[in-house]
Amino acid sequence: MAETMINVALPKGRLGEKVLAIFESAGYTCPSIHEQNRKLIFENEETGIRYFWVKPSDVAIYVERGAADVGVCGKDILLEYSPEVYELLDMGMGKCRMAVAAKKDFRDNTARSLIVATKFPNIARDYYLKQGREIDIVKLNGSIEIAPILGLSDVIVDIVETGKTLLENDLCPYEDIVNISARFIANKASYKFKYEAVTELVNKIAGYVESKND
Amino acid sequence: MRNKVTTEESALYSFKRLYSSYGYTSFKMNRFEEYDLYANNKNFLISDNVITFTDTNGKLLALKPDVTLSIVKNTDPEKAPLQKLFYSENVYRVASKTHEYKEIMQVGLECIGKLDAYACAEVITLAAKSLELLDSDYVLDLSHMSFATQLLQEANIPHSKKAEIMTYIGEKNLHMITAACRENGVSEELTGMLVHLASIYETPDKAFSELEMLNINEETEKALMELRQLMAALRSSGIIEHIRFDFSVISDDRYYNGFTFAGYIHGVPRKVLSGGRYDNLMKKFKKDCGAIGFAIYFDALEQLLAEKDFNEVDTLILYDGDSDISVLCAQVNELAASGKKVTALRDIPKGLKYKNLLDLGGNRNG
Repeated sequence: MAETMINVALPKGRLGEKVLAIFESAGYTCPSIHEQNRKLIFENEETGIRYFWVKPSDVAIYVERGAADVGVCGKDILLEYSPEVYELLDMGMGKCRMAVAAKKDFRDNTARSLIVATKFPNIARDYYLKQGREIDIVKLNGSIEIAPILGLSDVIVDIVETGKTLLENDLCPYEDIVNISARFIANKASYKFKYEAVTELVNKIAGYVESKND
Repeated sequence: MRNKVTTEESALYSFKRLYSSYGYTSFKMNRFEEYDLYANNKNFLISDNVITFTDTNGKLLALKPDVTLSIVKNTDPEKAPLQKLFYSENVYRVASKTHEYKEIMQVGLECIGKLDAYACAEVITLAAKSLELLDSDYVLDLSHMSFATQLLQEANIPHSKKAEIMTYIGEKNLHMITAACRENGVSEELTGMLVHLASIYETPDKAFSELEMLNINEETEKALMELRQLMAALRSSGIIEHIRFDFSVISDDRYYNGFTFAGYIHGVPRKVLSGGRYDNLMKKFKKDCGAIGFAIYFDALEQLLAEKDFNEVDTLILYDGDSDISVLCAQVNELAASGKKVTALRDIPKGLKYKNLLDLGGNRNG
């Protein structure tokens, strides 16, 4: 039986399933998580791991506040919320990019402020601040692509994976902001007080990720 | 016993007693400060939102978001060569995520003037002892700014890029350090050194051999010597086993230089103590001297110091309109005097836990 239990916040959804597969391949198996039931927390005392599924945008909060020792979440969430955590590993998966997109015929009118619709107001603000461009942010929670079509905004700042959704809505990527991928994060206090267990986990995951990339 | 102090009041009292016993004197200040002080030093503050208001004379004032700036402003190194001060004050900040105003209790200590190796060792000892008062299971992460600043100086990149890489060092974000260095044409060797620096998390003994590899110039040599001197000074103090060298503990180099440190205690998910040497801030105030200090954040300790037995009494005395008040008073006084926690009420509140119940209700008994 493992001496220390590590609490892992996994992002619900396709990315989380892939992350779980990697953790299990690295030796952190947990049979109960594959059972069909409504449980939310799954643990395996043998491997010293306790998994729980949370909303992807909440992973960083769980880790920052110590409810989870470690977690995996997209760089977009880390850039948007700037949580006080260690970012220990780029998992090299869930790759996409944060980009500005607009209608195909969009021309930036610099004589007035640019209206930007986004789920990521901090990333958008930061990006345009660096350019010295005055913007007006429209914070939306979903279906961002519709905003420029209906004239709600000039552009959108959103995650672009293949660009297919944009194309289907007559939009196109305008500028790339930053590359996004899934990152392994750790609570700062857990890193100190569960140092051996956390570093062993990171090293094993890193080893697995590297072998996959080779 | 794990927790030596269990409430906010007892923690405050213990800290004050500790600092006084080392000859530090209490520094009391006004709740308000002129806004200019913060406007001129915005980067020194944790959050750049300051709560401001105009006083009756039309002067713009602020509820102080920080204590160190006020102390620095008010100390005169000409008058006393070395001032040892501590404070316990409320500070006012805007929470970064919720954007709500928060009043936070902060206790801290500053040593300002002609600093020497002993003064630094004393302040770091007091930081460790403060953590120990909260929990014997604590960690003090120790860093020296010179390594990061000198390596970045060597990299010869613009300030904004340096700041970006500093942030990555703070996150132990090795892959982003590598990416940012590559993007800015930093040599492989220097990139490797920066990655190595950020990854160090070692006991002092082990860390020294790794630091030798990062010793690139006179400044880092001096930093190494200061760290060695500090460890030698702390040898007999019993705190070395709690110290980890961690160079991800970095602060804004426009203010901080030399030692920086951060304290964690078991069971609290975030940093509870933060400190460092800030000679550069003194220079900004045109004061030619050194300074080192730390602050303890009580908002981080809220859970730890919350009264766990707040809803528990030893004896609950029930009474009503027909009860004999003189008997009631005598009973309450007697129990309280014997050291019992007693409460006299007309009804039993929901959720209250009590060991004994004494019903003095005249009606009910009658």
